[in-house]
Amino acid sequence: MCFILYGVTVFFSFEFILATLFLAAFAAVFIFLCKKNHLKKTILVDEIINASDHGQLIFDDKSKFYKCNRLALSKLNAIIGGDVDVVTQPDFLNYLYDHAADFDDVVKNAIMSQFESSNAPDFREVIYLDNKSLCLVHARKLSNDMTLFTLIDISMGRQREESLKKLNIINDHLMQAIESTTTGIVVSNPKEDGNPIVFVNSAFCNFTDCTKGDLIGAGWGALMPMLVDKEQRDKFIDTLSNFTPVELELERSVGDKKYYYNMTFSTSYEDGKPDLFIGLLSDVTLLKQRESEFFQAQKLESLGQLAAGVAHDFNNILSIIGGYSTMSTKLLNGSGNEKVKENLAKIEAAANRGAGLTRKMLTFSRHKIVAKSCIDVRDIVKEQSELLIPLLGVNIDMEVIMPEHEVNIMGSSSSVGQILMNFAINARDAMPEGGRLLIELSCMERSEVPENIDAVIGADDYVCLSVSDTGTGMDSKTLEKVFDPFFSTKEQGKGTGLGLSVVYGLVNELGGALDVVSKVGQGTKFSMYVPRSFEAKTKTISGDLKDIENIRLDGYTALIAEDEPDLLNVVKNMLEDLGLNVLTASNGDEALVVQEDYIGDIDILLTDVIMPEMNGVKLAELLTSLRPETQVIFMSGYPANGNMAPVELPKNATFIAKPVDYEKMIRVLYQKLEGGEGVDDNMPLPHWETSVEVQKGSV
Amino acid sequence: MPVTNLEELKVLIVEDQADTRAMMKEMMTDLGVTQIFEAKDGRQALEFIDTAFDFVDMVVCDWNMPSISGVELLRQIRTVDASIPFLMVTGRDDMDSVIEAKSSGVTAYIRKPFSAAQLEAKMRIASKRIT
Repeated sequence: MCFILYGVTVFFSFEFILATLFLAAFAAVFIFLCKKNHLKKTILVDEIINASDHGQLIFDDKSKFYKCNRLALSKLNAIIGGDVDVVTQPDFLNYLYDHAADFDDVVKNAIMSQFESSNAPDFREVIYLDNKSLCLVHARKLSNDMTLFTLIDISMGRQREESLKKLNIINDHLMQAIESTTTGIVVSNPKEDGNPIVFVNSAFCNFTDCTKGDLIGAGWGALMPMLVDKEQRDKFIDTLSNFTPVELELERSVGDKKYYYNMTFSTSYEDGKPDLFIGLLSDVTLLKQRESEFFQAQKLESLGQLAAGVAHDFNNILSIIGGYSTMSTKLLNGSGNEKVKENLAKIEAAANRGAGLTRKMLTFSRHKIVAKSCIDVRDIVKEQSELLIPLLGVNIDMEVIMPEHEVNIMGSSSSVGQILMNFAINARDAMPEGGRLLIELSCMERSEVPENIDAVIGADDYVCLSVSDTGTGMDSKTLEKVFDPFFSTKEQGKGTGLGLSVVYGLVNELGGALDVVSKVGQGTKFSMYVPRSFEAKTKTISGDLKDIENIRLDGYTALIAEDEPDLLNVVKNMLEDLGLNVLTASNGDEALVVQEDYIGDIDILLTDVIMPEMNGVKLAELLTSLRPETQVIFMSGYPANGNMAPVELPKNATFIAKPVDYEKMIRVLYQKLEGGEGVDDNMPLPHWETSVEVQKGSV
Repeated sequence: MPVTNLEELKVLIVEDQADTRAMMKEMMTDLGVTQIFEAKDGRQALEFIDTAFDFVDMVVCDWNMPSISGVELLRQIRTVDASIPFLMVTGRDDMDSVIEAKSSGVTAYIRKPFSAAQLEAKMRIASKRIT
């Protein structure tokens, strides 16, 4: 028993204690190791969630905070606006609910369900945490009692998305702009073999007559035929191989029209290597045209200046030749050799022709003072076409086409007459074997007028006067020079080469422009376009001699020279009643001054024959020397001619006897202004001086 | 007082070209002008004006002359006499030239080449016109 007791004692006292100690130590080590392991795991988990790019929050099933990473903490602090110890928040979810912008009941309930149910599905929702940063909240169950919330900041992504959207809109706008521009744009990729085209806009497609499908992915062959010459083609090939910037000239024909283009190429580089090869193509047709017009104008101006200088000296010489021949003729008056007189007359005529030439030389370099009034071009065409018949000869058939209605422009009859005459004489000379000459007068709307003409004038309505022939026509080289001064295709001595350049100047003065179309062997058509006027014609004759009371002579101007004031008044009233514009003077000198101060046409001089100081005949002589177009009617109480006449009237003068009879006055005025073709009952009415000059061979 | 009768008119011709000057003189003589003075350029004309300006009723002057042009002479004359008839003889009748002449106070102008009748008309206009 003792032994047993001893044994038990020993056992319990030593081994047992040892064993117990051992066990305890073992347990302690085990626990320690376990704890250490657990700690290690916990630290590892912390490190893992800290290393996460997203905020991580772990809650237990009572929505009580368990763990979070630094990112989540800073995010939450940012939301809440200060250092918030989330750990101390008893109900963090409610706290968040109060602070997050988008944290509404729906979201809250969805999150709550994560805590309430062990098998709740994952929750994903995008919310604004602080009105600025967008956050994707992703909640999922880690275990029955643990819920992990991952806060993913998607602000950047969303921003990028927004920027991308904006960029797309801008891109769309830019594409619209690129597509709507008239500049052709083409882009190719020099990094690939063959430098294929990667982009073209519509303007470029229109220019090449290709579709985008044809061009994209293809090479540059479509452009080659449009380069104007070999030099341009070589330049282009050169730039395609080394991508140096270059400017090229291109052209293409559409029907009869030729278009000119300018193309520039440039290259953008990346890392020293060509990255994009960009071509810009612009239509320079109008520019070219303006340039050539400007060049023409400049050429005319410089030639004009030269001509003006020459004309001045030449005029001096002509003055002397003409002056002395006139004086010599006077000296010979009544005596001397008839042959000498004839020769002097020829010298004088030649001097006058020379003066006409110098005037022409000056016409294209300056703005002459031309009184513009509203004129019906039909009247001029009618008048000139009658003059043309003998000039054209029997081999040329002339046809005139013009509208029934008025065709009014602002201008001077003499300018339009001269233009038509020059056109017609050119046409005649182009048809030495005969042919057909067509004069067409028409009114046109803007849309019917060639673009290049409208670009220069810019009117809404036009009058077009054209003369076409069936003659030899002109090649393009001649056509280019046709308006150059001193350019003539006629034989030496036959043309001055000034006709069409004078026409050019005259048309400019009318505010119009010229167009010429010609084909070798088919003929030529010269056209003048002038803005149409809708004002009433300034000068109008209405009524006829059968019904004298209804005759109107609107818009004409008469100058009355009469020293008897009462008679002057009577005649003035008579004329004003007829619609004439009346200027008056009480003697010859005054009449001269009045006409000097009056810029417009004076159609009629109505003068008393006997006046103090200067008689009517002298006045008529002096006034018509300054204004050759003015027609003269003499009034006198004395017989016109014969022994009883105190002053001899010139041959073929028109005369009205005093007292002035109203009806007779109307009749005489009507006939004079109509062209003097009618015959008065009592006397023939030939011209005092012809007012229409036909310039033969003026081209 | 403007002189209306050409016979009584005292005219100064200013023209650098001797032959043109002689021709103008002869033309005027034909028109009945008896007192004609001549200056071969603007300088001589100014000298004449300095000494004997009162003797002249009208100046007929070429526009285009070396050293002192017609317009320059006209300007200088206008500082002495604002109303003396001044007839400018010119090869030009463009708008700019006419405006230039008118603004300088020209009474009338005549374009070369001119006939005796045109010269007479213009001299009459110049003598009658009030500048």
